[in-house]
Amino acid sequence: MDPWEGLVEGKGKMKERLLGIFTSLGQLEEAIPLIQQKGAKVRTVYSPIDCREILEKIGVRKTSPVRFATLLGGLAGLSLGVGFAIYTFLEWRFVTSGKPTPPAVPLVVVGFEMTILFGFLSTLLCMLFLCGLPRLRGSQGYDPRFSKDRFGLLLECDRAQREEIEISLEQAGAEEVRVLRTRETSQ
Amino acid sequence: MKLLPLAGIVLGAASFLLGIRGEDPSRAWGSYLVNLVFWMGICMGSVTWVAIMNMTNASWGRPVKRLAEAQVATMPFLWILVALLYAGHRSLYIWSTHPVHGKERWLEADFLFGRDLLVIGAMTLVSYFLVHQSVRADEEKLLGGDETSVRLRWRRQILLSPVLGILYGVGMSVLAWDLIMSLDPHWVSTLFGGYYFMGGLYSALAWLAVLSFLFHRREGIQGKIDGSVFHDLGKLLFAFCLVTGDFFYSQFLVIWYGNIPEETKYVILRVKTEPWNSVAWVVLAGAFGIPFVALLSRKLKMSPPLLGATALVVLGGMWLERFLLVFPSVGARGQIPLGWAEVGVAVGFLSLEIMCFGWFMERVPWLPVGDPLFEKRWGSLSGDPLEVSGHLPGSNKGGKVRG
Amino acid sequence: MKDWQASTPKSYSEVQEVILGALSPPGRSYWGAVILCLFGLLYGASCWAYQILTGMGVAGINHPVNWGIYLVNFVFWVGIAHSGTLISAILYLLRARWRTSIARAAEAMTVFAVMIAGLFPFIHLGRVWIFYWIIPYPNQRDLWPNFQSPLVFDFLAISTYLTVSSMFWYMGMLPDLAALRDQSTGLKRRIYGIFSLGWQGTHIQWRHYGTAYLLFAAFATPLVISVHSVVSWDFALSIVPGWHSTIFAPYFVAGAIHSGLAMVLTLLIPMRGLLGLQPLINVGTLESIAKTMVLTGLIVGYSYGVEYFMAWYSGNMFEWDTFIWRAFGHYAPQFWVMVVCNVAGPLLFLIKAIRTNLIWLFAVGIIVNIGMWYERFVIIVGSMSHEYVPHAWGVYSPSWVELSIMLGSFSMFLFLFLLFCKFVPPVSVFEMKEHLWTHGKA
Repeated sequence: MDPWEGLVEGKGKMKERLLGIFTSLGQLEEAIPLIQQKGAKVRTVYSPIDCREILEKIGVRKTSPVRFATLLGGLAGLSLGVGFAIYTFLEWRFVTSGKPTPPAVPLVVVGFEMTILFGFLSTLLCMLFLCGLPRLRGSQGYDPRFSKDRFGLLLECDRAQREEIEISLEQAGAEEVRVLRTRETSQ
Repeated sequence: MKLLPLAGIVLGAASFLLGIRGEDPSRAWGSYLVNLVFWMGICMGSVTWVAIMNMTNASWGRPVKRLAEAQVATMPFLWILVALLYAGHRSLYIWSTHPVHGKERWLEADFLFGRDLLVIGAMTLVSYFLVHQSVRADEEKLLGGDETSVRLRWRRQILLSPVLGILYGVGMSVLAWDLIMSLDPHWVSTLFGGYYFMGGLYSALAWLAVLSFLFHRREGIQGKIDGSVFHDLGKLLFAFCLVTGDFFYSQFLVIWYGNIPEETKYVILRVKTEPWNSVAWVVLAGAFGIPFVALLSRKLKMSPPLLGATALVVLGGMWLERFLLVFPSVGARGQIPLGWAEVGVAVGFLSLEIMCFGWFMERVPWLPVGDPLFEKRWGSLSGDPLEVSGHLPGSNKGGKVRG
Repeated sequence: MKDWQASTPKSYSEVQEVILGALSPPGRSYWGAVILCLFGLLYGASCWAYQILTGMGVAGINHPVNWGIYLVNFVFWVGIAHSGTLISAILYLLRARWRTSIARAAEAMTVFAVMIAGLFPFIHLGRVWIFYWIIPYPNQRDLWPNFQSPLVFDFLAISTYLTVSSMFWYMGMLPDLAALRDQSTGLKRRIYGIFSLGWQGTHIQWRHYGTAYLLFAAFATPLVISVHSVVSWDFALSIVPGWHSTIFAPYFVAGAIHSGLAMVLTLLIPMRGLLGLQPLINVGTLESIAKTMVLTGLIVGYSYGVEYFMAWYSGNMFEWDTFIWRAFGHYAPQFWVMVVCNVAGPLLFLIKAIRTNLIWLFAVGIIVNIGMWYERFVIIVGSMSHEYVPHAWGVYSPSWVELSIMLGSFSMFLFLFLLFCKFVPPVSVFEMKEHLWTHGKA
């Protein structure tokens, strides 16, 4: 799930959410420092293409922790595959062509395939989990054009700064600036 | 500095000559052969890497192109060394003293060495032409030469690259069968040629990584061999580690499974019997195990000294691998024949390579400025040609290496 | 340097329109083709049902050739599957730009080919209803499959390959399915919505997706090599002359890529024309495929040569006799078709005029497909009919049941591929947009 949605810091200030819609990633990239200077925070960037190059600008690491799931899954697969095969050989010492039971040489193949299978599946599951997929509810910031040819910058700022931020976004080249339903904070 | 390689060569020659005059000349010829096939793989493989990178339009590898091409300088010497090997064929090859029924005419010294010299000669010539076009293109570019001429030289390189690729595959297979596989003339493996030339590409890549580490900070390279080039080298090295391991395993599994005595005795001798089995484990670790684990790490691949160190481990492992292919079939031994004499001969071959490499690099620009793939990515290098190359183009003799 | 972006669409929406435009409601000829393929599929399936009910005797398999064209087709289809993964995974790792416009269709080809390949061991089994015995599960007799056997390797490898390639293909489609969801209404919107899993293209999602995709490609690459190596070991781990050969693993992998690329040409040339995808899949891409086929053809030719040389060099009279018989015995026509189609055919691509001509590309693709099918036939059937003992030599020819099932398999493949073309974006939309983005930047 979008980890920032639904939670708003409460400090007694009224927060506004603005959505800037851009036609190019470059413009959006330029807009980020402009609004960050004014004290606004980037919540989400929507993009129809891979936008990892802007991640550092919003304080997010470019590489993903998915790699650890890969490593763990691969090792699990290797040990499970080879371990299970060895177990079956010890359980039933079925000697074929005079080969030892368990044999080391063919188990390389078994281990290899299971490493790939489990490594792949764990990467897949971890990725889906971290991406918040499958996502059952829509999010308020999403515009259907974001999967076609528009880029979205969803940001949060104080109500007082709204006009300033709108102007900054337009300066950077935003095609449209939308004010989303605001959230009142609790005392 | 220049005298050091020369001293190494003298040491090698002396160790070798002492060996053949000693009580076991086959041991000396054996170490000669091991080093010969090892360095043939590296030198032919290096220039073939240039050909492969040309054919695949690989722009990432342009900064290391000259370092790879430099191995062409050693090739004529390898040709001479193979010719000299003729003198020792009776010590090495059992088929010379006991002709094998059915293969008498194929495994016959004159025919065998004739075709091998032909094959190496062809590879040397095509490599020479390829590198010549490449170097001349850069020199012409630096001297502000005609663009059409530079482009023509690139077209010639594109035409020569697949020729070298095919020659390498077929030629190295023939060399592997004749020089290594025939040491045990009753043993056959259809993948042996492929295994040898893939191992050659793998060793050549490791050698290139070591050279890149040694040279990346030199002036003539102008910092173009940066972290991303090392990362790509590392990834390719990892891929070839897997490929070489896969080729080894393909042979091993098939022979193990079929359990046919004609095939297994070769493998059993190397993997199960004393004293060779310990060497086999070291080879597995050095050529495959350690590089596999090390090259998984992104940080290691991008760090020049760490990648260079891993590449050295690979080279050590592959040298031992060639050693393990050759020596068990060269006379019965109770002990691993790895003593000072063998080290001396190995040092001799290494020094020969260093000497030829140095001779070559002194005379050529170090960056392939005339290569359109280089130009596309790094633009035309402006400034003093002396800065770009290690020397002033045209001054061949006595040029000093800058930086 | 070739500028193959010359005729590409100039904006993201243009890219999307060209690709998703291919999914517009199809005409009668499309449905005609689908129904024809469906009939072929059902015909094949009914022949299989007939075989199950009547017994394996209706197939031509008998002593000494126990592995007939069911296994030939099995190896053939696994081979076809490989170049899909080569294009989508290996070329991704190598950062080859020409891969983008064809990766989706090639990966679809892989998934369907593996599905069909996976059917053939079942078809070949006499008692299909006990297929589950190969799955390792605790049972009352304390029996376990023999993990030493290449047939068990096969089971593990093919099921892993099917899982990995279908998930890889599906994951690659997520952003495009989201695009389809966003521009559809009603039931279509619901269905694409479900399959797109709610993808929104947030930066967090791209962050994890991008890394994961690279890791997927990194896993798929060794998997490709290992799967066809495992299939080749079904033969090489025996001691049948002509089969017991260490070169089989790389030889089969190269051959698989060779036949797969030929199938890519066969499928993509009509597809790009019929779906209007010419601006995206241009001749430069097809030319790159042709050039790769020259390489794989040479490797296959090298393998043929080495096998012959070693058969002579080894002094093993059985091996040498098998290879002589292959060239001049009962299956000599198939052998020569194999050699000419696989080695000489792709060499035509050395001529630029041929490799940039769509008709020639298509024709050579078909020729190589035929040649590679015959290669599997010559290897499998040819070796089994001429083993060690002369009294055990025999000849095999496929029966009508086997040929019908083979026809059914090709129909199924075409059927699935036709459906793919119209219900799923045949080219990766977001990756083509990324090309525009990186090209547009200074």
